Amino acid sequence: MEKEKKVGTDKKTLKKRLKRYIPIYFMALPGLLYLFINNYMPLPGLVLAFKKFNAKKGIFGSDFIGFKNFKYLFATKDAFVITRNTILYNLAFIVVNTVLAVFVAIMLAEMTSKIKKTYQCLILMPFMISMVIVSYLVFGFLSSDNGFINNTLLRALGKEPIKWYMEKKYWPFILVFVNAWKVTGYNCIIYLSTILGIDRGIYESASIDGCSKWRQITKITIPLLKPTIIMMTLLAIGRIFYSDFGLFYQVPQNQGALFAVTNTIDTYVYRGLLELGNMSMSSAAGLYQSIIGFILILSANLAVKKIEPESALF
Amino acid sequence: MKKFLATLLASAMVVATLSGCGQAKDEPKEVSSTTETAVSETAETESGDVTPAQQAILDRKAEAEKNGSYEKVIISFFDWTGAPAGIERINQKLSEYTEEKLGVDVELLIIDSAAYSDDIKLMLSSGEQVDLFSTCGPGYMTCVNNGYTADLEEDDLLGTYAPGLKDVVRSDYFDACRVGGTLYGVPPIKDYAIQTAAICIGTEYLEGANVDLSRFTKDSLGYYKCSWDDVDEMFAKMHEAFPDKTVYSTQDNMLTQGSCVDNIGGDYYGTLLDPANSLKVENVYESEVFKTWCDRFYRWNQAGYISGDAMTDKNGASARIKSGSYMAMMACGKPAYENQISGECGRPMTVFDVGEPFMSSSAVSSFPWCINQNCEDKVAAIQVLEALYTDPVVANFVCWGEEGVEYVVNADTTINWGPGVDSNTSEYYPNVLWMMPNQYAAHVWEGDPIDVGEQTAIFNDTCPVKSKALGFTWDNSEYAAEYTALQNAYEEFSGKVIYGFVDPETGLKELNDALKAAGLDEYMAAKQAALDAWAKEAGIN
Amino acid sequence: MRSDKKFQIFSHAVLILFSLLALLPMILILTSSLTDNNEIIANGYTYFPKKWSLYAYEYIFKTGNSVVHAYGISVVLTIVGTALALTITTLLAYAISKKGMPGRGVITFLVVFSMLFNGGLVPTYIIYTNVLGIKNSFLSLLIPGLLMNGFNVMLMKSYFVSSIPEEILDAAYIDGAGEVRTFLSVVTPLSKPILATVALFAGIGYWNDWMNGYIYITKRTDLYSVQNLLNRMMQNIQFLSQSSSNIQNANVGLSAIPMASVRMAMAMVGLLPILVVYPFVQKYFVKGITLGGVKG
Repeated sequence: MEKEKKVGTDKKTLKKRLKRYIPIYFMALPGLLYLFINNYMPLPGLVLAFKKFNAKKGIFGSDFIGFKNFKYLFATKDAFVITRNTILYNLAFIVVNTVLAVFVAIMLAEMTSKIKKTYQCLILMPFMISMVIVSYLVFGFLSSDNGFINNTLLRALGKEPIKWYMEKKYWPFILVFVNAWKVTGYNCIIYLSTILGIDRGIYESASIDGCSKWRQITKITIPLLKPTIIMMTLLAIGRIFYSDFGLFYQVPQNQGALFAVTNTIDTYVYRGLLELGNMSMSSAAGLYQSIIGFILILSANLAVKKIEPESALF
Repeated sequence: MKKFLATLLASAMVVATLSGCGQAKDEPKEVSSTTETAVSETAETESGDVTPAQQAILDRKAEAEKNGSYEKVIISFFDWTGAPAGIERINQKLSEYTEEKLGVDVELLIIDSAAYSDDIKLMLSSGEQVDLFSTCGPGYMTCVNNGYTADLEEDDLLGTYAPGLKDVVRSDYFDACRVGGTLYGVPPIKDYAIQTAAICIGTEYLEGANVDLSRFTKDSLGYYKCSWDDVDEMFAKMHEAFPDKTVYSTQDNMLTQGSCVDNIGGDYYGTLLDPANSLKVENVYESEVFKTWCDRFYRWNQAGYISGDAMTDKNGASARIKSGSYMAMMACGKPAYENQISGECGRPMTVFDVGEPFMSSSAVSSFPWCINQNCEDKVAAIQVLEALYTDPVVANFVCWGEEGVEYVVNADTTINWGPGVDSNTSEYYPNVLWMMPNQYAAHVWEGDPIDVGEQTAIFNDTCPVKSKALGFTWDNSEYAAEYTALQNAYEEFSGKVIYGFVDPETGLKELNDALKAAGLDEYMAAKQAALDAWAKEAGIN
Repeated sequence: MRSDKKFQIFSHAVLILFSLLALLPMILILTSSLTDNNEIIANGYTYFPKKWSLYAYEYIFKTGNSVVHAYGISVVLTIVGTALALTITTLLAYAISKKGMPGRGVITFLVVFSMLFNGGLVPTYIIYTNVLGIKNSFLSLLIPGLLMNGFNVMLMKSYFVSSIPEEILDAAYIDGAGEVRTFLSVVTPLSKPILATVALFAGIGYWNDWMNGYIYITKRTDLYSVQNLLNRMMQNIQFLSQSSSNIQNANVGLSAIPMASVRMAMAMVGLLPILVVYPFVQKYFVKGITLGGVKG
């Protein structure tokens, strides 16, 4: 029946189809209008990345200097380190955060007790705290003189205190942990809402058939979550050259000894441009990050389209 | 208590003045701040001819007559709380005065320090109306490089319409603000010189450690003159007497406040090590000065004077002393500094003068006042700017608010809080005197000496170590890639060596290797070339 | 059933662990905000302060602009913003979830593209100030950046595609319902979880935002939201402590602000309302959707 209908739709003339969707277009209108104003109207400003900005000449009148503003992103050996760090952390975040969020979401959805409301509320709280505050919390735990870990935990275990902010080997874990701690509550809501959108009837019949909870999760929940997981991952890939400035700058307290594992494109750019105040150069950095993200998201989407056309973004 | 402080302050000032006079050079002294004199002479010419400046005012008044409203000049700077509650009243009262005097309305657009730098850049980039602005926040060079600032001498704007400015700002201070020969800003009148390496120690700790102060002589500012060996000795005694307190509260100021190294062009990548005598750009991080500092901190750190958290603790040095678990810090001295630092640290502090007075090349040009290049009526803008520097009425409004409301004038012309007002309840209290065009044109706060302006002028004029490069400014936008890499390299490798967590031998090598890999040599060469070109033009060698 | 019980116990254990991980640092924020500032600087943050102090809260509520007024602005902004954002987002997301609609791919692409590229701060600012002229107005808190974002649109679209079976829509069409009625009476009731999610995300976005106020509000201090006010306060103190050597003698009091504890108190002040409101939103996250009735 469905197939028949589809064929039927295709045969209709474009005009008829358009007419049918007129109300839908009207529904899309406010959103599109907003996108136009908020995102597309400022877009020509990206030419700033290729110019030496001068207020006297204005954005479009400023001198064109080609790719010079991009040079600092590639000029030194740092370029490798910051690119590597940015990409690797983002990959780690994609994997860890997705696994944790799905995991927590499933448990919350399956839980029968009312107390799950409290759990959910508590787990979301870290997301509401700004990174600056998080950086002080982390410092409260890791400070070498007064930190809990050194003062209480390691002392109780009879271990030597560790100078956390001098030892870079711990930081990839610390940063992945802090990030997961902060965003899991937020991300799990996304998966939770998807799970709640699954028809309860499916579970009921599975239950009657004697399916264990574990089998219900692996056979029903996770497959139905897949499109959402794929979409979230695709969107994260689009931002793979971006990094959370607060996480990489404030949480490690901008400690030089840790740069090898904490310096990312955003922190690198920030240190330079803070004093320079060069708008063209920050514009160039943004454009560079966007373009790489764009290429990656297009390719990933293409791959998804081949394997699972339903889950592709567009 | 307050009275006691005031007396102390006044006496410190007197000492400063007396000794300052003793040191004064023979050059003709153009005191940069006698305010009453310069006010309105420009407006009254002897013959009755109308000067272009007067004509401009008359034209604006005529225009206002026609339109029914005066044109507006918007002045922007920052304070600590954002637009003050009484801002509209002040703007209105101020405008009543300036309408009559200058034929314009004036609007103060005061933004808080948190947002000012970004907000003003956005306003200047987008063409909104801001006529006069302080570059304190975004930075003078950033403003010039981005093309925000107008040439003040285009068609002799300054000379024709604001001749009074030249009476209150010395010509060499104007020159200090030139970039590539063009004058984009007028420096605020304030203390430009600093007394480097002022070691401040809690008096109670000195007493507790039985430090004998009688063997030290006092310097011109009234602080104990002593050597680094003396400091080491005192620290050792204090450490022994108070083993559970940290001796020294660190901050990254060893070069900025603890040396006479001139960071020409605004950064330390290529500096003048002997700025009074030589224009050779050198790498400070390979210099004796820096090594001595690093050795000292290494020694202090080994001796247990420095906290293990020094690199990560972001609290201010004085806040830590206030907490009661730190005892000493370094700052830069200036007249009446002991009172200020004692207040900040929440306990009486004793200041030791270990360094020497110094005026760096960028001291004058760090945050001048500028006119927006996009300003529609630059004549009106510069005339308002002149009034800010020379007209006590205008200066008082901008600095202190409305007489009788925010402040009252005492018999001796000093001022104090108005009836029922204090720093928390005042409706206009920007509290940024040092940024004001000419704080000395306004009233003096009760407790400060009435001639504080002249004293400061003398302090500036008599500074023995003045950088030869005074007035050199540098556009490093061509070397932004190197600068970014240098900044990252510095932050990566500097912390542990400047706070003494690593043997200076290895630490300095590491730092210098990283800086060189980041392009320090190229950057320095470019700076040297720019400096040479500037010196040639300015006739300095 | 036994396995179900085991699963429940396991879930509780894991969630208690996660909750503690989240809760303990929050308690640290609370205790630090109530600790004497000097003690924090001397001994670091602690769960068991020796010297308690309410001064940080006194400071926040007494200084400068009224925090209570700012709360009012935040509440109004969050309510209005969330309602508008939810409407616009849902409508657009529903449109691009329609499989047969001509131009669907293009519109979706425009949405995703907007997530990747932006014109930058200055051009955006110029559009909102010079073209739309909304600087120093409530609209400048409401509109720039926050009203709709591609992420929420895609999230919702994905839900519509995967969780609203086409048969149900077809059934509605066959019954003679138009697009609008189908959307209102069939789609929205089935989409409560995602509507609640996007509302929550938009709400958090509005509540936490300080950037719009920071950029667009230069004169109207009465339009400061809580986060904007707290953020400015914090940055001002920071800036002040860095430039304290420039402050005049008469004004020493300013540099005596208890920064370490105030910072934590501000975090609490910003966080509390969400804790109060959240339980009300939460009921939409608890119950699943049953299609049975609709399917027939």
